[in-house]
Amino acid sequence: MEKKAQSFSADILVVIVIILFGALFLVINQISETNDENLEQKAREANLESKEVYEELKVQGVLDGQSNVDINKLISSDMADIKEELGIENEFAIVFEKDGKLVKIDPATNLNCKGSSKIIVNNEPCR
Amino acid sequence: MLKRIFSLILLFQIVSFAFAAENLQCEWKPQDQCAQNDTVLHVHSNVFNNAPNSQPSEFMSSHVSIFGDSNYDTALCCTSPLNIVEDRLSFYGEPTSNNKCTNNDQPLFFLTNYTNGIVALNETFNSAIHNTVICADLPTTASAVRLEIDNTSFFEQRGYQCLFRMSNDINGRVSSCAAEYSDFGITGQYPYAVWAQVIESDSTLRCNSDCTSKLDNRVYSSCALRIPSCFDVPEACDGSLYGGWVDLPTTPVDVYGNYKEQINCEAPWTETRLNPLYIEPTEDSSILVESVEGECQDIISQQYSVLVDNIPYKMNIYICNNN
Repeated sequence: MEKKAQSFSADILVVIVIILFGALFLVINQISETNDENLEQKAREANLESKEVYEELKVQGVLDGQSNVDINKLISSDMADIKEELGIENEFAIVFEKDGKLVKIDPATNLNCKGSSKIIVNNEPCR
Repeated sequence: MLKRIFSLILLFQIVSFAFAAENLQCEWKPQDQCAQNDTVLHVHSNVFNNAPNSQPSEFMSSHVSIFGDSNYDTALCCTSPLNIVEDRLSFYGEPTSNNKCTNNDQPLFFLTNYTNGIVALNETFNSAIHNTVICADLPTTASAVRLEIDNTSFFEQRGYQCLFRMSNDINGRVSSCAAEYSDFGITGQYPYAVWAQVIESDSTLRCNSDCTSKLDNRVYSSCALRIPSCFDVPEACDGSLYGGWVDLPTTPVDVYGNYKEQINCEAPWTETRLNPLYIEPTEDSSILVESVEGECQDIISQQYSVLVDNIPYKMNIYICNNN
């Protein structure tokens, strides 16, 4: 009788452990899915904002219809004005590269990137 | 009636002389058939013969007194105005780094030897192999010849004449401009040409007071021959539009071949700027993007293909995401 009771309580313990593991798995999975969704959501929003910036650069004449960049206009543009014009919340910066290497926008003033000073490119805050 | 005919003849003569003055009169002949006063560029063997399977000419030589060698059986015989070249060309033996030409002459080409050499450009002088120099007295007096080496038709379109062709722009074998071969094309074998423009006076260029030519409205430093105020027109501006920005070849070059500085081709001919495309050499030019600490939760980028002065680049827009 005593042996039977011991066996019964061991079975219950195994079931409880399995249930606990299952619950833990479900919780972790849920957290991970939420994070992925958040990341995707952020990426979508960021891409949307970058497209808005790109289109605004066309409006400002920095870019033409054939994607030619007027560097002088870009240098003289005020990115804070563009941000305000678009009404976007996030700061942004524009960087040029060729073959994976940084191309300075204005070598004379060591301008690596144009935009928010909160973003730093190769140790130089954007301007 | 007689007066009209006389006028027409006179006009014809003037036109004839005008054209003769602007063209180099050269002809390929066996070397002993050049006229006594011609400038003679001797060429090795079979350019003249145009024989099947003939090999390209090995070497251009110049002037009988130095290159009178039996190896050269063909000559480019040039009458005036190429004689101006002859007047101003000289040969200097055993040059050194500091002493390449007599007087104030400028070295034009370096030869590896007298009889069967190859030519090299000014900047590539190597005293170990270049034992002869073609020197030129240019263009300090009232006449000059402008020489350019190029593999395009840029100078031809601007009225230059082809003097000879080279297999390489810095150390090439030489052949005639008009040589043809049975089994391969001259332009494929000899893509570079030495182009010459004879400047006898500003009548060739017909210069305006702003140092542009009436021929093509482009800037020419040679206008200084007649218009003293053009004395400081930089050579870099030759052929450019007035007011245009051109690269300064005396400045450093970046990894993409962009010169560091450009000059504005308008008076006073001194305004320079940094070339917008020039990339300052850095120890590490790979891109590291970060944010001021705590300012951005994530930095997300979107890349676009763009053109800057018709050169393709990637433009990245980095978004500092805090949502």
